[in-house]
Amino acid sequence: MADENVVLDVAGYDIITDALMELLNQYPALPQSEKITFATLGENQGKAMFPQGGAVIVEEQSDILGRVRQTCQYPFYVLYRAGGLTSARKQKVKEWLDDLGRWLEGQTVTVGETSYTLDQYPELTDGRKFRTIQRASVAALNTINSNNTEDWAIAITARYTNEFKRL
Amino acid sequence: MADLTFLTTSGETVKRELLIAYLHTSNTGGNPSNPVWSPIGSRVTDSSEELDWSEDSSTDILGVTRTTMKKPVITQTFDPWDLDGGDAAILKIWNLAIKDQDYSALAAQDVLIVHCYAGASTSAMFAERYEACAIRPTGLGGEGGGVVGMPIDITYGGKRTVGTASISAQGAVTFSASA
Repeated sequence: MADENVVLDVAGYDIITDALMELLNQYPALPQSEKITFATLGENQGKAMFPQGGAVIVEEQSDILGRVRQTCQYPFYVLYRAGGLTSARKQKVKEWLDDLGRWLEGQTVTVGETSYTLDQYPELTDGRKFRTIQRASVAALNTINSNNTEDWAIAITARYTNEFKRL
Repeated sequence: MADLTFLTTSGETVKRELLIAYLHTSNTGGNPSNPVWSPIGSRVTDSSEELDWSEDSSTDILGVTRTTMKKPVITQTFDPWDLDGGDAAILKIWNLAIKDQDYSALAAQDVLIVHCYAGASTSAMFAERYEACAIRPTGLGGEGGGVVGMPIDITYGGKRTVGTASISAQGAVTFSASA
């Protein structure tokens, strides 16, 4: 049953989605010929981001000058679909997703012989600002499809603040 | 000054943001007759003036109680008050307190309290100016993963001048002392 008390940052959903899609596609381990798509996966392979619900306002405070500060979170999955996976290949897929989570958290990941650290989150508009992006799970096998492809997934939550003056 | 009325709708409570304290943030030596007023309290969620009337009650041998009071000493705490480079008020106090440790200047700050809910009109709102307030930062820091805060206590003092204030659409405050 849905929680009737959930309040969504409706206007923020599109802003956060666009920023996350841009950020995810900067992941250094993503081959240049590939792209993480939004909510769409090829039948046999692909990588995609799926929002889990909407952007939820988890806390709201008003200051004495009349400005409102909301803390919001935007949970999402990144799915990696591939077929014909051997045991070693499955492990590589899991590591790829786990490293994506680590990179989004600001930890250093190594691709080939090069180390990469994300130094800042993308700028947002309309008074919003990313605070943290953190894994909500480790990468794991999510689904085995009828064509024997496998969907591996990692759950991630972006937290951001939204400040504005309420009338 | 004649009694004032509230500018808010009868039957409605008064929004908290209609009572704002402003700090004179012009540079030291700036023109005190043409100050720049910057609001105090961005990100502060709860702050109230505390009025100490030095109340003293005594009961005589006939059982009659009498109470004396003095002009109030007004204090106000802003906690937490998070550092923000775009907040002129906190920037001024940080420079005086943390960079310079200028306790003399901290004890002589010019503060204007604007009661936006009271007055003759929204262009003539009741305001009181205290020209020598003591502003005392009580800490500097915060928890890991959080932000740096610098809570302050203000004791309103110095010459008190009442008058009216207007606030432009851009937030510029103009104070006029009552005749």
